[in-house]
Amino acid sequence: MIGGALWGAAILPGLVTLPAHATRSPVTHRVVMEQFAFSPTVLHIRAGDSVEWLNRDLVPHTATHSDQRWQTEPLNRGEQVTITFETPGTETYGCRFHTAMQAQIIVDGP
Amino acid sequence: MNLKSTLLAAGIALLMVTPACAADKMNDLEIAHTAYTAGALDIRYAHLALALSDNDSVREFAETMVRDHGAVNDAALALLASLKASPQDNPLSQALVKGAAEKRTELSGLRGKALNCAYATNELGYHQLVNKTVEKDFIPNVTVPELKSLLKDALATFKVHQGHAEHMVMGLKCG
Ligand SMILES: [Cu+2]
Repeated sequence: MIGGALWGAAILPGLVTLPAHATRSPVTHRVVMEQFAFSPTVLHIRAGDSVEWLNRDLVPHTATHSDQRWQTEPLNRGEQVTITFETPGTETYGCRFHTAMQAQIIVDGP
Repeated sequence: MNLKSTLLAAGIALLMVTPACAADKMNDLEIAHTAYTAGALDIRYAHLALALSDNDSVREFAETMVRDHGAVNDAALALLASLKASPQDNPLSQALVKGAAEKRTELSGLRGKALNCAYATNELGYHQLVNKTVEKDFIPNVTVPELKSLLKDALATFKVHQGHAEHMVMGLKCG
C-alpha cells in the first residue's frame, strides 16, 4: 500500500525531481503493528498523506505521539485506523501500553 | 528477594521433581488449560495490585497484564470453541492455582513499597517460570498446529511482559 511515487523515488533516484508544481494526490501509507514492533519503523510521507495502522498482534496496541499530541484508540487484532498529517516535521510515537515499541513518521513538505 | 514464593516453589517443584511427566505427558487440552490458567491467575494478581497500589508504574503494568492476558485468553477460548474442545484440568494447573492463592494472601497483607516490590518481583518470577514452561515444554509438545501457533504468539507477548517486569523491578529500587 506504499505510494507509487515513493517506490519510484526509492528505485529510480534519478527520476525523483518532480516538477515544482506537479499535483500529487495524497497517499495512504500502512504501518503494521506486529511482534511488538511498528513496521516500518521509520516512514517518510508527504504533508497531506495519511498513515493507516493495522494491528496484527494478539494484544491491543496504540500509536501515541511522544508528547501525546495525537494518538489512536487502542487497536485490537485486525483493527486499523487512519490519521492524516498536514504539517511537515518529525512525528515520534510509540505504543502507550508497550513502551519498547517506538517509531517515527517523517513528514516532508507537500 | 522473594522469588522463592510459594507459587514458584509449587510450580518449580512440580516441574523439577517430575521433569519427564509434568509436561511431556500433558496432552493438548491440559496444556491449553494450564496456559489459560496461568493467564487468568496473572489477571487476578493485577486486579489485586490495582486495588492496593498507588504506584504509577505498578498500576500501568497491572493494567497491561489485564488487557494483554485478557486478549490472549479470549483468543484461546475462541480457538478451543472452534475446535470444539474443552481445556482439561491437571496437576500443573492445580499447583499454579494453589500457589497463586497463597501468594495473593501474602500480597493482600502488604502496602506501599513492600506491596509494590512483592508484586513486581513476583510478576518477574512468574513470567520467567511460565515462559520457560511454554517455550521448553508446551510448544514442543503440543500437537494441534493452531494451538502451537497461539502459544507462540502468547510466548512473544509474555516475553515482552517479562522485559517490562524487569524494568518495573529496577525502577522500584527494591534492592
Ligand atoms: Cu502495544
